[in-house]
Amino acid sequence: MLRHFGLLLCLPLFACDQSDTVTIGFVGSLTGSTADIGSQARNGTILAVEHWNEAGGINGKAIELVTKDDKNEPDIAQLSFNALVELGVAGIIGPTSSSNAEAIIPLANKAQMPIIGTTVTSDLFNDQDDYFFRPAASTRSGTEQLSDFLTAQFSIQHYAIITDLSNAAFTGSWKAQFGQWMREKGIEPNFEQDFVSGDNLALLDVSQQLALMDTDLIVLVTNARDSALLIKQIRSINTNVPIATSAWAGTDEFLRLIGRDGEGLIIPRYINDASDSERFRLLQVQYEERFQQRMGYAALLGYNASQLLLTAMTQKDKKQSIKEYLLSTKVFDGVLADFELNEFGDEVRNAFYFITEVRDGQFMTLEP
Amino acid sequence: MRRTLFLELLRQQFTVALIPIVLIGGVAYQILFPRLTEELRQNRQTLALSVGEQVEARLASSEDHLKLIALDIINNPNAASLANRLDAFVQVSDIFEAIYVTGMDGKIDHIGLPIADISTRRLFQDMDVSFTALSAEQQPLEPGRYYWSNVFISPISGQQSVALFTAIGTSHLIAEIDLRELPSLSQRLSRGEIMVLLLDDKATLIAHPDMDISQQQFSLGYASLFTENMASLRTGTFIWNSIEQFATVVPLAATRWQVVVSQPLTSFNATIQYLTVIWLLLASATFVITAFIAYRTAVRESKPITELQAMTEAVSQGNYDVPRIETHIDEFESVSNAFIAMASQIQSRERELNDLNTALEGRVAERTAELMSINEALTNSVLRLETTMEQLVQSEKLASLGSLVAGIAHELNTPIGNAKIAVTSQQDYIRDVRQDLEQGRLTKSLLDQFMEDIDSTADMALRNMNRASDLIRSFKQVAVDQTSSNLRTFNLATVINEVLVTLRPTLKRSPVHVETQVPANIDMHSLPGSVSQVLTNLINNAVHHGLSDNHKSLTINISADLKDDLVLLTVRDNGIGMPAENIKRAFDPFFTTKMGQGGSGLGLNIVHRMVRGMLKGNIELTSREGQGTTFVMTLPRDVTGQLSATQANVMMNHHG
Repeated sequence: MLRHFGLLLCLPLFACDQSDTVTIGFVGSLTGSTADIGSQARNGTILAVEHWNEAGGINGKAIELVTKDDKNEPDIAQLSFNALVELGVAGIIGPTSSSNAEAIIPLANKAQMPIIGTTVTSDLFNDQDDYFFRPAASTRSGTEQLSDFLTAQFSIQHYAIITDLSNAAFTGSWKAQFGQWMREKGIEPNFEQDFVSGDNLALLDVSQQLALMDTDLIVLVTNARDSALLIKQIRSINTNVPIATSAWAGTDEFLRLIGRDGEGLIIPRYINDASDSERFRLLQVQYEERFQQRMGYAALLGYNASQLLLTAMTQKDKKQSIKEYLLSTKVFDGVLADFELNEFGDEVRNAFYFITEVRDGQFMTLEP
Repeated sequence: MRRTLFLELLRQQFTVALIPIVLIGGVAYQILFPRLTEELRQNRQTLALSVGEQVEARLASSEDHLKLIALDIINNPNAASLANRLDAFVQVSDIFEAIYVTGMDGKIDHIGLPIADISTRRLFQDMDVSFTALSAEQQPLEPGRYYWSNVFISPISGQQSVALFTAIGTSHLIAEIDLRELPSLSQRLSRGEIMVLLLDDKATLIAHPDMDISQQQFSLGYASLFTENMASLRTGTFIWNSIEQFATVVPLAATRWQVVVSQPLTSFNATIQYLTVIWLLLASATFVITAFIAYRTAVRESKPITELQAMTEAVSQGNYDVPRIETHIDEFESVSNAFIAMASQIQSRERELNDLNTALEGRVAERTAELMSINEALTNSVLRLETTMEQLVQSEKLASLGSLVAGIAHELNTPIGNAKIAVTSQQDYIRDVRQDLEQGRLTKSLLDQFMEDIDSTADMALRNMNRASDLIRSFKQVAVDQTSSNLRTFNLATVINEVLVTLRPTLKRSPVHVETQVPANIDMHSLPGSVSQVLTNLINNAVHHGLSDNHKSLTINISADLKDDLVLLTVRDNGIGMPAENIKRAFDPFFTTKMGQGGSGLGLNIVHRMVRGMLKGNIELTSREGQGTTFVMTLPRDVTGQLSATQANVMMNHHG
């Protein structure tokens, strides 16, 4: 039964004539500690499909979206992926975490099934001729920009870095890249600690160590909840030390949890709430109307990823595969920014990367 | 429209049988089905309300629970032991995942946790949980009242949660409730295709029979059913998993959540469809049975009539030996009997009629013979009449000839008489001279006188004899013309004069004056006898009929004119004229106004027949009472052009 794997979404904006539809899939973490990211990416995908159907679908055929929850577990992600392939989807949006991407990409290559990552930014997938594509740039350029910003902003000799092993594909890659950029600036970490999300004791332990540590910068490569809990603990003792996180934590959920303790945090985000792009503003309003919540970065990336797949399905020649189209077209017109794929299908302009500071409970974009 | 009795019976039976079907169908459609639909709606609504009550009861029990905790805190404000007491409350509660007390700054002062998490209490100490509270404008909270937060992912359990809170002085007592239980409630309440869902006030799914879907923060915000009129109980449709669902939505007052009881629209309608199918089956069964009964009845009821019809046809073909109709209906039975009686009656009457007929035929033959002899007699009479008429015409002709002869005799009388007198005078002269001679008294003067007298009397005699001779020649011509139909060339004026001469004796005795205006140069090649006869008859007609006591004299005017090859001959009188009714009949044979006064009634008929027949012309009669009568004849100048070649030749030869 389909329902046990996910949800067949056939939204009221279009008629569901099975014979005259094309199906695409979504796989992401809809439950668990990263569900905020996963559900937003899914919502962005739903909205893109709805918009695309309103505009006439793919060459007159309505698009049907099948969504699946990988529960943030790689083996469930693989099952979900196989189920979608069996359904005969034309392409898949997702997954929403690098660890699950690591599990799925080999299957996608085997099945020659194009998958468009939403919030998958690990460098692990760079420079590979595979069936994985993404509108979000990998951590390589993001961490460079962040390290430049941090070193310019603060006087840093040492830094502490905490990573969540539950998403090691992302956090490991992020930590390595960031470390490389810092090393190039002559800065080395004086504290490195891993933990697995959900282990509150370990989290408490880490937070105690960080709070008492003498370091110039604390960098958290953890999800929104864990970041919030850690920061709260740190701030309860040390109110001054600069804290930065990866983009992973930059959600509204994080702002809610962190409350007044979030002020001054440096968080890169794949969205710029202050953008004056009309298309972006319209999408923000549409998203809020549709889902009764603010559009976060995962939603925007989900929307852009879906646009990428649907554009390829509509525009490609009959002889062309989706992969061939994506690799030959390269530059795409995204919401908020245009983006460019290299010969391996990875975004190279770092178009959706913005460094923000939390001020008055909001993300304030500082760069670019 | 005419149809057979069988069809008519069938139609009537059907009509009667269809009335209840249609009636019951109408009632079902108009009253029963809408009521059923309404009842189904009510059922769903009741279910939704009961689910709502269950959820609310569960939440209300949370409120009662929290009330006890609040009382405990108020009664025992010892802060040191508070965390442990809260732990104990969490651990005995099957509802609360965490209970905490926050200060005015919204940060956690004291937190009670499940045993497993007690060691991480520090993580949540001082955590800002102000977001769980209601919006700023609802602050400060009313003491003693309980409030529900929106659904959020708990930072403590990492699960979808909702917070119940109340004010204790300046602090807030907040209890987190894990919503993981709600899906199982929804699962328990959902049955078959009926699905019980719970949505928060943002239309995010918080409970679905499928636990996984419940926790995916799935928004049903695409359906206006869940985003509009949220405070009221409502029904409507939305799409779920490609299937249109019929849903009843009950809002929960405290939490502003929505309880949704939904069912695929098709299955919701299935009951009605099922009933409709049952009804249709019943109706068709009734119809089939009715059709069968109607057919049987129609066959049975129409059979006697059909047999009667066959009997009628048999009787009409003379077969009176009709069988009795087998029927159980009195009326048909008596009709059948009456029919048999009628057939025998007809048979006996037919025999009588045959006899009568035979008698009649003899009488008809007799009458026919009689009629034939009468017919023969009549034919003979007609023949005789025709002969008589011929004779009359002939005698008319002879009469006119007679008058001609009389006229001529009269004319001859004078010259011959004169000649006789002259010759007699000469005899006297001669006797006188002879006596004188014998007596010698003859003198030369006497002789001279004698010679002179003889000379003048001889001259006189000769003149008169010539005159008589002329008259005879003309008579001869007229007579020849009148008794024969000789074709010749003649001068019209001459012929007219000759006619007038022959009529002079008649005319002399009458106060009639005849005028002629006939040009001398009209020569005709025609039948002069006929022309004479026509003129004679017309003049005689005028003389006989034109005079009366008031019209004592008459002028007849004969005029002729030449127009191309036609001669216009007009005979006009100024006599008494004719009444209109006589004009029409004037040319009819035997029509006369002088019956018994010498009129034969053939004069004008002969004129008509001669002008039309012999002279190939036309005659028209105009007359006015008291103003005279005019006959205008149009005659061809050369009648041979009008006759057939053979006729003309015959006449020419005859003349030659």
